[in-house]
Order: sequence, then structure tokens, then C-alpha cells
Amino acid sequence: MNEASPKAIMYEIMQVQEELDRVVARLSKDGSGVFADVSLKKPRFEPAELGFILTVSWLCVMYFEAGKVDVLFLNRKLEVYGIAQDGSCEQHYELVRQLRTYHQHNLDLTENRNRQIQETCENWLRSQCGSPIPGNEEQWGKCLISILTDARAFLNSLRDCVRQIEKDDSRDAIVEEWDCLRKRFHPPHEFDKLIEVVAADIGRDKLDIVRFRKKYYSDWVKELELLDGTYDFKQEGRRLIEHAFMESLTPSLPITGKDIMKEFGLGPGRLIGDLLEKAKAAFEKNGGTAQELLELLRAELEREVDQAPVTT
Amino acid sequence: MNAQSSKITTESKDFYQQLVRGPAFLLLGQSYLELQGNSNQFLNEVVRKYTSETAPESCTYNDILNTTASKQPGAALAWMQQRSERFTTPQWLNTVGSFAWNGIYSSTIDDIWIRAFKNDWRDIHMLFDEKYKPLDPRNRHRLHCTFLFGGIGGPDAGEQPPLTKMEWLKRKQVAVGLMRRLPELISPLGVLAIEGYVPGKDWLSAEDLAPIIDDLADGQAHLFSMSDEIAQDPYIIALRDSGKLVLHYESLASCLQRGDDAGFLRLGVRAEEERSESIQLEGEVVLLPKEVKNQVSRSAIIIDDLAIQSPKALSDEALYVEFRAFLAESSSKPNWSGYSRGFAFQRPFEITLHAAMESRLRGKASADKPIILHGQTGTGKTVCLGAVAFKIRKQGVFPVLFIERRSKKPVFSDIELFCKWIEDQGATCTLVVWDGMLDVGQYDELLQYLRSRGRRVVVVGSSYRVDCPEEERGCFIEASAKLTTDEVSSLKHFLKKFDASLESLVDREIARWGDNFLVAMYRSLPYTRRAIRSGLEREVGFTVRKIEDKSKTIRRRAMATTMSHALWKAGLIVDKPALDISASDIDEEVSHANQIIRFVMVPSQFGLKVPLELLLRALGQGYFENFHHLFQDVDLVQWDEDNLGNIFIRSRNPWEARRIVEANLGGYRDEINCISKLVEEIKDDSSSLDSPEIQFAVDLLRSVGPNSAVAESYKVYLVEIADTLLHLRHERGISNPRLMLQEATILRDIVRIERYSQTYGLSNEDCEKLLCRAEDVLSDALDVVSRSRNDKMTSMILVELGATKASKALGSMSEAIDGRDLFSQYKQSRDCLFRARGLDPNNFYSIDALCWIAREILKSNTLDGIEKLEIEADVLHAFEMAEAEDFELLPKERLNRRRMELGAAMGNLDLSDDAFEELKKLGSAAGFYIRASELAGTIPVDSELSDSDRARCASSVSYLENAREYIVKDPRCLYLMLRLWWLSKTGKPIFYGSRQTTPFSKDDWQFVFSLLSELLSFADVHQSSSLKYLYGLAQFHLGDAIGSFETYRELSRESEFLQGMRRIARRYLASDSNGIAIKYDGIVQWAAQDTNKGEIFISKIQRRVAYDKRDFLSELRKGQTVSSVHIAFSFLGPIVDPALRSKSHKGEQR
Repeated sequence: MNEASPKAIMYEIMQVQEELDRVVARLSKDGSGVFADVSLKKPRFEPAELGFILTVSWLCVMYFEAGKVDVLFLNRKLEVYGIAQDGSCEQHYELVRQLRTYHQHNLDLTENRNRQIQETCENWLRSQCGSPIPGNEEQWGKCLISILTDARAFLNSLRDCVRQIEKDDSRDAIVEEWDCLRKRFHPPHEFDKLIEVVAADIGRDKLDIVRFRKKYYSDWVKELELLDGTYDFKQEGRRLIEHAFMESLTPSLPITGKDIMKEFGLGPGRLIGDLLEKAKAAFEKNGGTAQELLELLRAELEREVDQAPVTT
Repeated sequence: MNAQSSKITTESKDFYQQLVRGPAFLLLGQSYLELQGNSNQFLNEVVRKYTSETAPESCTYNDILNTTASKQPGAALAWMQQRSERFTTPQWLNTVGSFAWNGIYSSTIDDIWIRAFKNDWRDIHMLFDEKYKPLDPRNRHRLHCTFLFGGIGGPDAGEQPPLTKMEWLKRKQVAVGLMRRLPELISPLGVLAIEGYVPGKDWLSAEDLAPIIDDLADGQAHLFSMSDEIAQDPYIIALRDSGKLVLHYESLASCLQRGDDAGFLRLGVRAEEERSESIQLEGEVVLLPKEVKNQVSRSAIIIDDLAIQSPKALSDEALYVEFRAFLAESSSKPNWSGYSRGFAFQRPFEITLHAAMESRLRGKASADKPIILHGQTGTGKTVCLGAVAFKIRKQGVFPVLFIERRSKKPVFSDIELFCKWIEDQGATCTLVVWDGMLDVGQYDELLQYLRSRGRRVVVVGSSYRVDCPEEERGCFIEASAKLTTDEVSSLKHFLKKFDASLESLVDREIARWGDNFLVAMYRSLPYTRRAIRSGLEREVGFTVRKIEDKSKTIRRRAMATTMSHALWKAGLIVDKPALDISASDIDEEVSHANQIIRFVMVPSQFGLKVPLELLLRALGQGYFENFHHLFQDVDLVQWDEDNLGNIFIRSRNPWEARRIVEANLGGYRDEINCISKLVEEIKDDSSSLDSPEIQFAVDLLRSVGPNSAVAESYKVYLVEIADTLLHLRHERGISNPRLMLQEATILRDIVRIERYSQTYGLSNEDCEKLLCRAEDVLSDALDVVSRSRNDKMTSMILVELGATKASKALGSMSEAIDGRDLFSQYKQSRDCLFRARGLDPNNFYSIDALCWIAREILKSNTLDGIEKLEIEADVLHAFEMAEAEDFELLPKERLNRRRMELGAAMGNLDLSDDAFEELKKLGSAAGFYIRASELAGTIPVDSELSDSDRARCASSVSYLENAREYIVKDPRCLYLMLRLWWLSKTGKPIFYGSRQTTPFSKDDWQFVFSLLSELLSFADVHQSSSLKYLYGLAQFHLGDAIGSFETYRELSRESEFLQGMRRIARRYLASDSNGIAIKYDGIVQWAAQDTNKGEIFISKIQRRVAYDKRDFLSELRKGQTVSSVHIAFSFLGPIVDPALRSKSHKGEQR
């Protein structure tokens, strides 16, 4: 049983966090540490239930927002240096994410993944306080101490990892890899600035930038992650933003896939998608009514049949 | 490279389609790390370390050759391995790795990329050398990653990367050899994606890669992350111009991501759809471990929570197409979403079957017989089995395994693994539905296997219509072929759900549907809902014509090479259709399109799927291109990929296949030609006995063999089939014991048929030759199988050998053979049969065969009375052993029939005093055996004995005791003495009931021990596991605990094939001379965390004895003392048994 109070453990966490930031700032080319500033207030610990939920939220922000790239990078390196080989760090990292989902979202338990989250979280709670649904101050207190203790161990491991990189023969190559990863990470505010510029350039200065970014952000991040290391964020980011602007301007087609199936007696399949694409291209170019588009598709289909190889 | 191109190109769409269909292979070049950060960190570090220079801007892997690394390769590779671990997998590669590939080839030597392919449902298997050829090279769950130039993690020198120029030159040959495997693996259906490959920089040169790609069909290879530099390479240009290679300027990761976003494919999901990994059990959700999932999936479909989830919403049109697809497909394999959508029309026998399953699943006792759903083809058995399996699983109470009809027999231990795991999770009983359309015995074999391991299961199987034994009528449910009036009315109502007009279709078409209504109904349904109204109808001939038409538009393979394409473009050669109507290997008048149809449909009419590679070899044109185009838009022919990545081609259903065969082939002669051609092309490059091709060949031969339902139609061609198998052995060098067994069986059957009906016009001499040939084949098969120590297979071959020898002996009877020669031949046959039974106690065919030969010989007058008495003693002994040891599992009806037949044949035999003395003079103990048996009279084998029974047994034992000097070398008499002595002492048959005690004194046990020692010194059947069990029991009671435990350890290994509850049943308890179970005290020494196993140290015998946690009411902890427990004995060994359980058992003596 750990007898330390939540406050004492939190103090230690802050100390390790500070050490991590200092060491990493010396290693990296741009001089930045692991954790960016966090606007979320440090959690208060009483009552314990609130303390637990706030702590999970705070840790989540630290790991997945303020320290996103670096925490992920270091976490992956733990195994390389033989640190926390029992998988405890990986488990803690995932658990924090799942606990936040579990406590702050309405889970649809018909979904397999949600059931798994529920099971993981409740198993952990049960192992800490004897019940999957803590009900009193003592039970919540045990859970709070445990999550903080795990967080301290996790950050200690990250710190040990950074110290190992410091001593590594291939330190420069590893730091270069790390920097490359950092360069490829674009937090929401970077996009916000770019959106502002693009919106002004194309005369959309009334745009709700945050709402627009939220709609496309995850897709943009995914796109950029897959590019080679030479890409220019300002150029590729602008391309993505402009594409999203154009897409938002496209009116919906007057016909649907169902209309096409019905009109031509076709079953579902790739052909329906291809015809819809053709209809979209034509509609964007010339507009037209549903009937006109269907006629156009009919002509297209007839042309394809005529061009098909002769099979005598 | 742009972040976004707004339109998905046709090339990309084709690529997605190829990927999803598979087999999908990835070739990862040496420049893959440069795609992330523009430089290869790993290579730079290696060059920096071993060249004492800073790595140049554009270093290549050639820079690591002939450096200081080659001076100490071991240390250098270890250092590289450590560096490799330091670097993180590129993010784009994680996206690529999230696809369910069939295999990866890479020219790189590091293993950073390997990590991107590891996940929780897929095992990685690294392959470094040509020497190893995996059995499952396309397995998506066990991903084979081939290192063309060796890997830094390679265990041996030949598997490590080259560090000198000379090593590199040598390794290049290996790399090309490994690459040569690709066209066969990819097959004409699949796709090769190439990423991170820069021709001028890669160890795999474009010169070496080009011929490999050229062997694929148009558009099968896709090169990603194209650059202007790559576009200059002459080989890449040539491949692109010939249409062989599709070039993509975007990266593979972007292409895949876009495909995922647009719904063309799914990333991040396990191979077979988005497989869930959970099973709901009584409200609790249990997660399937990857190891269990992957192993069990080889043999059965685990119906997990995903299968029973509500399916995705569909438009009416799509719903109709799905329904139609369900009708076509579900008679071959289960379509869970279709069941969920209510596509399965319920027939009355489904209700009966469901009730029978429910009752057994919820019953307290473990069912000892499988439920069999039987009926002719096309009656809806498969749909019914799927529907009931689905409904039972949907309740969330019982776990369900579904084994679809497949060419490879399920591995029983896989099924057992799942049942055991799920029982440990709290399941009370598992439903195993095996839609194998097999002989009933096979389902029984599975059930007994599972029961022998303590599993609680209900096994349900499917079969063609059978005449079920009277006493087992409750286990057989018939699927009736005819639709009743009520069913017709229900069917109309049912079809209305999909379109109101379909109701009238039933009235119009039902007369034509006949007995195969499901398949026929599918054929009557137009392709789309719209066409229902226009009354369009498809015909089989339409499909064949369509394939032929298509075939004319496809270029021949000769045209498919880059060179020929260039010549064609220059107008120097003329294009020809791929499938030349006028040329064919089989028949000049048969088009190649028809040939494909034949090779697929002939096996498919028996429900068999043709392995793709075999089909392509049989077609004789290698991998001609555009093969898959033949089947586009033609849904008559389908392909499946199993869990190991093997691809099979089949018809939609056997009924259609039969119709096509009838319409397209001239008769059985043509079918046999097809079968012979397929069998001749079989390859046997696997170390196991049942590769998919071998299994297919065996199934195909059985389907037309003398024991098949259609035997009469094909019997005149048996000689040709046997000759095909001979050709396979002699010309192709394929010596597979299973095929050899088939050949010998067919040869013996030819002789049997000839003797019965003179079908082939063979002389006696011809028959004799055929049987000699069969003997030779079987002897060779025994040699082959002896290398693998497969007792079950050896036993089957020995039974066939015994039957063949018997057949020879019977043939010689018509030629006035000398009695002694005949008797000698009989003894040879008998020895084979006894040996077979010793190896596999479940093989009752050996008794069958012995009865048959005995009956035939006894009916003749060739042998004298003495020899006939010997035979009688042999047969009685065989029955006695079977009844004493395997009573529960005996096919009683069959053996009783045999007994009656023998009784009739032996009716006039009489053991006169003269005959007895004559036997004694000859040194035979048969007379003693027969007299002792007569003295004992009829003894019950499945109930306790009366006092008079016991008295007769005792007097018979006394008779044999007095004749000990004469019988000491006769295992029949010794066995009889042991059995009768046991009966007289305990009043119960050996192995009667469970937890029995034995009121034996030390002298008694000594007597038993010496008898058993003598019996076990004989070979063959007397090496049985039952006798070894008793031997171990005797050792224990004589105080030799060490010897006893050793005997049981050996026994548990040997009794692997014992069936039923017998293997785990605790037959006897350690007991004292009064027949009271001995109580022991002990201390828990070990308790497993994950299983129910544990061990208790029993101080009285100074040994650790196993225990099962489930036997005890409360959990035992390590160090805890347990008192007053018993020691029980099963075939798995001694086990601690709580006294409470023993007391409650009625069989215990006090």
C-alpha cells in the first residue's frame, strides 16, 4: 500500500516533468522540451471521485496533447532500452486514454470496441479498489493514488529513456529522427493560422475557422503523415484547405445511386459509383436536371457497349 | 508528391479490387526508409560506423560491402541489429502494415519494417533462405516476410546479409530464386504492390525484377512513389508500355488510405472481414486470444459476436441482390449476415433439429452420439445448419464452431483447443456444427475424440441420405426433398418480403423447381428487382457462352511477354484468342473455356473445390494471363480463400455443377478423363500427409470410388483410375500413403467386382496380379509412413493389406489350393489385422475384415477341421477383446451381424476329443481356448454378473490354470484367463463403470501382474493400451509407484487416439484387499494460474499426483493440506479424487 498522498505524488510528477523538459530541450535542435503549456488547471484531489476524474483528464491532455509527439516517440523507445519491459508503461498510456473515454462519454455497448473499453476500465478499477464501480471516498481514493503512482512510474521511465538516448552512440541519428517526427506534427493552431490566410486570400473572412478546422483536421493530419519528409507544410496544408473549401461549395447531385439502379436496371456495384462520378463531373460543369443527367448517363452506357470488344 | 488528388483513378480502383480479392503481396525496396525523412538513418549509421567516414548524401547498400564490417561479421550484424531496434517504424509504413497482406518480400536487410506488420491478430514469420518453403505461403494470419538478401536477424550465415562483394553476388542468385516464387503465389488473380524501390540503387536490380513482373498478367504489378528518376529506367518503361506494370506517383500508403476513406477496402482489420474477437457467454464477454483464434481458424469458423451483430443497412435493391447471393452461396458456405437479415427460409426439419440441439446442449449428460442431418442434395441442409448454428449462438449462451465443407479435414486438436479454452471461460457446452457431407463415422470420431479429452460438446453433422440404425433413430434427422403444401404457402409469404411480384413466381415456377428448390429458386430470380417484372431468366448455357466469348477477346500467354507485345505492336505477329477453340489437351473438340468449366464442375458436382494451382497446371498452359477476367461477370464459378491463403475454385453449388456436367460432357468417360488429368497433376511437396491437393485427390477418388453413392456409374473406369495413380507414383515420383491406400483399395475392389459380376473380363491370373500390385503398393506405403510414425495411418494401411492378402487367399481357393498354403495365407492376413488393431484400438475395420475372411474360408471345404478351429479361436478372441475393452464404442449392430454370419459358417464345427488332442499335439492352444470359452458360457459384457456366472468363470479359470504349461505361449488363452479371473473376483467386467475398487490381495495382484507381463510380451493387438492400464494399476498396488507412474506416462502418450470418455474416465481407485478405497493425505505443491491443473504431494507414496481444480468445492492454495482423498486412475494417469465424489458413486465397494 502506497502511503503517499495524491499531492505528494503530484509534486514528484511535476519534478520529473520538469527534468524531462530540460534534458530534451538540450538534445533537440529547436530547443523545445517534451510538454507544451497546458491550459487545463492541475487537478484538485478532493473529493476523491472528482480528483480521479480530473487527474485522468489532466494526464490525458499531458500525454496526448501537450506531449503528443514526444511522449509517443519516447514510449516506443522504452523497449529498445530495456525500460519497463513488463509492458506497464504501454498499459498505463492506453489506460489513461480509455479511462477518459469511459468516464466522459456515453458508450454504445453494442459496439465491440466500447465493450472492450468498459471491460478494461472496470477490470482495472476492480483490481485497485475491489469494485468495478467505486462507490465511496475510500474506493475512489485508492484509485486516485494508483493512477498517480502509475503516472509517476511512466514519467520516470520516459526520463530514463531520454537519459539513455543522451548516452547513445547513435544519438545524433536518433535525435534527427525525433526532430523529423516533430516537424511532421502540426497541432490545430498551426492549421488555424493557415486557414486564416487562405480564407482571406479567397475572400472568406467571415469563416468560423475553428469549426472549419475541426471538421477536417483529422483527415488533414492523416494525409500529411503519409507524405515523404520533404513536404512543405505551408504549401501542402494550403492545398488541403483549399480542397476542403471547394468541396464545401459543391452542391449535392439531383440524382442518387438508387435512381441509377432503377433507371438502368443495374444491381449495386462499382459501376454505380463510376456513373455517379460521371454525373457529378457533368453536373459541376454544366448543371442540369435529374432527367438530363440520367440521359447523359444512358448515352455514356450505350457508348461503352458500342466500344466493347466484338464477341462473335 | 501532393497531399491530395481529388479523384481516385481507374488504376487505383482496379488496384483496390485486386487487393481485396487477393492474393496480395508487397515488395518493399531498400529505399523505403527514405520515404519518411528523405534519408535512410539506418544505412547512414552503418556506413558511418564501418567506413570511418561520414555517410555521403546518397549512400546505397553497396557502401557496406567490403568494409570493416566483413572482418567481424558476427559483431557487425549484432551491432546493426541493435541499431535497427533504435529506429522507429515510419508512420506511412504503419498504414501499409495495417492491410491484411498475403506475404511480404523485401530487398532490405534491416528489420525496422517488420514491426509495422506485427499486430494482435497476425503472427510474423521471417524467411531468409531458399531452403525453407512454407506450407502456407499465403497465410494472412501467419505473414511470411521474405528477406531476399538475408536479414541482420538471420540465425545462420546463409541467412544473413552479404558483407563482401562476392557474398553479394552469391546472394543475388538466392534472391532471384526467392523472387521466382512470386508468380505462382500471386496466381492470375492477385496483385503485387511495390514500394520504396529505386532500380538503380536497390540490390534487387530492375533486370532481375522485370522477368518476374513479366510473368504476371497485365496490370497485376503496381509500382508506387514513382519519381522522374525511376521513370527513366528502360526496364520500367518496357514493363509499363506492355501494360504489365502500373505506375503510381502517389505513395502506397496514400493510395491505401484513400481507398479506405472511400470505402473500397478496409485497413486495420483482420484478414477475414472485420473479425471481432469476443464471444458473449451468459451476459459476460470473453475475449479470444490471438493464438486460440489463429489456430482454431485453421479448422473451423468461430461464430463470434461480430457474426451475430445486426448487419449494415441496405437499400431495397442491394437487399434483393444480397438475398439472391445468399440463395446461391449459402448452400456452400455460411453467410451470417444473410441469416441475420432473415434470408433463410425455415423448413420443418430445422425446427426438429433446433429442438434436438437445444435439448442436448442443456442436458446434464454429455451426448455420446452426434446428431446427423441427412438428405439428398439441394434440400437446404447447409442453410438449415447455418441457421440453427446462428440462432443458438445468437442466444449468447453456448459457443458455436462451424466447420464448412472443405478439402482439408479439420484438425481435431484445434477444435479441442477452442472447446477447452471456452470451458475454462465458463461455457458449459460447445456446439460443433460440421457440414462435411461425410460418412457418419467421421462425426462420431470427432465427438469421441473430444469426449476422450473431457470436453462437453454437441456435434452435429450432415450426410447424404442414410438408413439409420433402429437404436439410433433419435440421432438422425431427415431433410425432406419435397415441399409440403404448407411450405409452399409459407414460401410465397417469405418471398414477398423481397418483392411483392415474387409471390407469383412461386406459382409459375414451382413445378419446374423439383427437389432442389433453393438452388432452382435462385436460378429463377432475375439479377435485379427491376428485371423481375420483365421476366428475364438466366441459363447455364449463357454462362458458358459468356466465358467463351470473353476468352476470344483475351490474348494468349505467348502474347503476354514484353517482347511479344512489342512485336505485336510492330505488326510482326498477329493477335490470337487466349483460349483457342480448336486446340485442347483433352479433346480436340473441347474449347479451353469448356475445359475450365469441366475441371471445375466435375469435382464440384461432388461438393469439392479445386485448388487453384492444380487447376492451372491441369490446364497445361501455365499461368495464362487474364485468367480472372474469364470469370468476371460470370457468377457460376467462384473462388474462395481459406484461412491459410489457399485458393480454391468451385461451382456455386453441386446441383448446378451436376447439371452443367450432364449438359457439357459426353458421359462418364469424359468425367473420368477430367478426373485423371487432375489427379495426374497433383503435387506433393508438403511434409504432411494431407496437403490441400492430396486431400482434394483423395476426396475426388472417394467420390467416384466403389463406396460412393454413384459407384455404379463409374465402376467400369476403376482400372483407369488405378492406372492414373500408378502413373503418378512411377512417372511423377509421388508416393503419398493416402493416395497409395486409395490405389490399393481400388485394385482390390476391381477384383471384388470382377469376381462378383465379371465386369472387366479379367482372368484369375489377372486378378492375382492386381492383388500382388496392391500388396506392393501397400508395402511401399508402409515404408513411407514409417518415417512419420503415424499409427493411425499405418493401421489403416495394415487393414487394407490384411484385406488384400485375404482376397488373394480367397481367390486361390477356386484353384484347389493346398489347405496348409491357404491357412498360411490366412495367418498372414490375420497378423496384419491384429497389428492394425494394436496400433489403433478404434479401428473396428480390422475385426470386420477378420470376420469376413474367416467366414469365407470357413464356408469352403479347403481347410480341415483343426485349422478351422484355429480360425474360430482367433475370431472369438478378437470379439472378446473388442467387447471387453471398447464396449461403449462398439458398432454393435455391425458386429452382431458379423457374429451371426460367422455363427452360420461355423455351425458344423465341433471340437471333438480327437480334434482337441490333435490340436494339442500340434502345439496349438486353440482347443483349450474353445473349451474354456464353452465352460464359461455366455458372460454379460455390459452388466454385473450373477453368482452362477461368476462360478462358471471361476471353473473356466481353474481349467486354464491346470493347462498353464500348454497355454503359456498363447495370448488368446492368457487373455481369456485374465478376463475370466477378473470377472469371477469382482463380479463385474473390466472397465465397468467408474471409480471401481478391487478386492485383491497382494497375491492376487501378483497373479494379475504376471499374466499381464506375459501378455504384453506378445506383439500386435496385445500391446493394447487397456492392458497397459491394468499393468500400471497392478504395479501401483504392488507398491511400485515409480514404475506405475512411468507406465501411465507412456500410456497417456500412446492413448492419444483413444475415443470417447474412456480416456479420461476414472475407472479404478487405489484400494485395499477388502475392496475399500484407500484414503491419502497430501499438500498442494503447485496450482496453475490459467488452467485447472495442479499437483498434490501424497506423502504415503512420496509422489506428486495431479489434481483438477474443478473436482474440489473450494480453491486449493499452494501449501494447503488436503486429507482423506483417493487416488483414481484414468488413461491419462493417476489423479487425486476427492473422497466425497467417490463415495457418492454407486459403483464403490465398501
